[in-house]
Amino acid sequence: MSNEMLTHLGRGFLAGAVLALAPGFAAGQATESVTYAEDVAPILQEKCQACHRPGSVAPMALLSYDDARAWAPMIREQVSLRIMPPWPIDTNVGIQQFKNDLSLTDEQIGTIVAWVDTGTPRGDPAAEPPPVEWPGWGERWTYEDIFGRPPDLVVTSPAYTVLADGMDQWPNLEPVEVQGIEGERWVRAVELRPIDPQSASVFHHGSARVANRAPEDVHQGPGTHAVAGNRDQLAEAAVGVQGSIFPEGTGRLLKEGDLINFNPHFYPAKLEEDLDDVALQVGVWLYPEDVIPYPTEGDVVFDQTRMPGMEDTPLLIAPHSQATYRSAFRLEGNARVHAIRGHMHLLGAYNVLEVVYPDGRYELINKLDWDQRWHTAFLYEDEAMPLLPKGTTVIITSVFDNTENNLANTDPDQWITGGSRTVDEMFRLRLGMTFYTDEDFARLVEEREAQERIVRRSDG
Amino acid sequence: MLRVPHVLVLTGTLVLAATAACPSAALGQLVPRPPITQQDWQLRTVRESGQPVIPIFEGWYPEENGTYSLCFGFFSLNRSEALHIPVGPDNFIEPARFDGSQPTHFSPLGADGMTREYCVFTVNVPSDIADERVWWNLQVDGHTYRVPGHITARPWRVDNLVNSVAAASMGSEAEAPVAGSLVAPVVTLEGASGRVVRGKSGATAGELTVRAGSGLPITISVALPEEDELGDDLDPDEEGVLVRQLVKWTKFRGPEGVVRFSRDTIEFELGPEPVEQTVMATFREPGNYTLLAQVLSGSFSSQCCWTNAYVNVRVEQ
Repeated sequence: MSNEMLTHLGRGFLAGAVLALAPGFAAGQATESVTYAEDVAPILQEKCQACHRPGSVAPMALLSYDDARAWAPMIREQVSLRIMPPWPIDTNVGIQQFKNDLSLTDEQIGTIVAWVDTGTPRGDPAAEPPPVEWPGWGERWTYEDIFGRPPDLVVTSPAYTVLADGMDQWPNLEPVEVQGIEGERWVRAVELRPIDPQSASVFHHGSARVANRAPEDVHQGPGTHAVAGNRDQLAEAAVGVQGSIFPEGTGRLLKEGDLINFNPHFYPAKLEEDLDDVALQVGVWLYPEDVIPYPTEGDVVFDQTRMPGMEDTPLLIAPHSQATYRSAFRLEGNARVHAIRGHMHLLGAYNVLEVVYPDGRYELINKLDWDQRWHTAFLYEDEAMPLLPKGTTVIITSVFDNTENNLANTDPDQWITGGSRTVDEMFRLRLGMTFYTDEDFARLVEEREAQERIVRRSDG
Repeated sequence: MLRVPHVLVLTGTLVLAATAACPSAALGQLVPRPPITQQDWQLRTVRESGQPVIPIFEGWYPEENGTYSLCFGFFSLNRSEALHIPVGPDNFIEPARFDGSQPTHFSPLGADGMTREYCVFTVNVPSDIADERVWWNLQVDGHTYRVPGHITARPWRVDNLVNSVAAASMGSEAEAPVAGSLVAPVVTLEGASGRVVRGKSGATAGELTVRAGSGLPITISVALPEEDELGDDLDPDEEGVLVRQLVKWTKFRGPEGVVRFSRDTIEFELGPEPVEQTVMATFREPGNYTLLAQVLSGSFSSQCCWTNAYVNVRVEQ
């Protein structure tokens, strides 16, 4: 997704109309008492400043009262419509317990709306929370906060020159050998990032995977041969996705001498001159040497074009139309799903994941409201990770919007086909999955049922 | 419009779902996303026959003389049936000054059952075309399918002679192949006094003459471009990917009826010296034909890079 398109989308096109759309959040708020110092600043620190600070991805900082007051109408607009913070998932259906939930509660939105509507009072500056000391670019990895330490090893890609010709670029960068490990080590997490702000300015998304693994050497959990697109991938990153944190007790294998292959997608919107020395790097957090976790598949890619029953259904979207594609397959292994992420391009509207369990029960797992500005990976809380036994039917639905109503659409007169370019389309769902033997899966189910019994008991 | 059985004579019923127009919405208005109501399954289903062919705009690229070329392909939803749509009310380009370069023969999907035809012709537009749109209109079984070409959006820009992105990343030891084909090869056309063509804009040779039912050998010569035409990033001596070349022959225009090629695709290896490739074409019906050879070193993905070479043939009774 390009900055050009971001600009197209983001510059206040909703202004005015939105002012009448947020009464629900303001209703019932004790408006007289809402101040920046005591009510708004803590919300901004918790949910906004990670991006809205100098050197980060957001176009303006929200670090101070003056910052917030200057942008107050837009803040009101964006939070009321739940455009910001970005959390593009339907919160009315499906699982809602996520480890990385960025969304504001209704109460927090009501607080911001009330603060703006009452004239953005500052309150007592002495009551403001102390400023957060945000790190500069490259000073700290995002996952450091989770693991309490920098990555155990870092691999940097070769430099690449992004050409200023306005076209998508997918360079094949020379694989880089991992340094600093002996024998075999298990990976707990991988963070992938552009090495500097300039690299970030042209970075669309990218992945890092082990390039040298022989097919027979790639871990394949029971039943994974039935799902498409599995590769020995370590991490993928995009705006909204930093990488992969595998669930506690699971991991992926890294060996001495392994080569890491970087596959970035650069999009040089508004680049006037070629940009040299663009590069990515991965930070890897390892399990202790004596720990051998359960091998996880990491991200499994479900490309609908390759799914059973889609042989006669090409991706072809008519002008001024909305198109729905629905496909299903039977899971041949026992899987625990720890993350979900959609992948479409400019015409994507939403992805839906549904399952029918072997005993006939139906569940809508999630509806992802696709926003091409974000590639959010939704990480389930441990107790909410879907447990899909062997024989579960997985149903994936993707909906595209090739009308004028889709403000990301570059040209609704076009017939759109599948392809890699930004103006082509894709429909992929990525599920973070671990496949278990029957015995191990039965143990997981037992543990889940025990947890639920405890919760029910404490509830009532 | 006539339907031409490609392999077998098949009949099919064409039932097209209407393409509902959505209410227009100007930028600057808040427009809630409408519910998804349209289920145009029929238009997105490949069948053996009876389905339409969809015009596709691939993108645009600048020419050295300051003009631009708009690149069009098509997507047949028929697995076996070719369509014949003469230039005229069922197959036209507007504005009319750009009409006439489009195909009349629409091959079924490729051997894998899903591969469409990429950039089979271009429309050259002047440098002052600005935001004017060039529409390719096809009418099939009473329904119109149309698509506009234009130069107004950067994301629709494509390469023509050198796949700049792939070239810039060459030298890597990555296992993944480059996206698309690396360079458009140089093709010399028989019957055009050695006319040389390179790129998707193509050129036409001819005219060759043959009797209906007789085989016509057609030869093209393929060579790598000179090094100074490849840009700074590409050294052909180091790039093994250039060695593998493919010629794909199709009927482009002509009377209804099958043109048989001794081989629809020819794969060969290309070294420092030009390589001649000959195909035998047999025409069932008399008339004036144009055949298209697309010559490339990889795939059609990324809409780059290959050479379109057209050959005119007059078939006599």
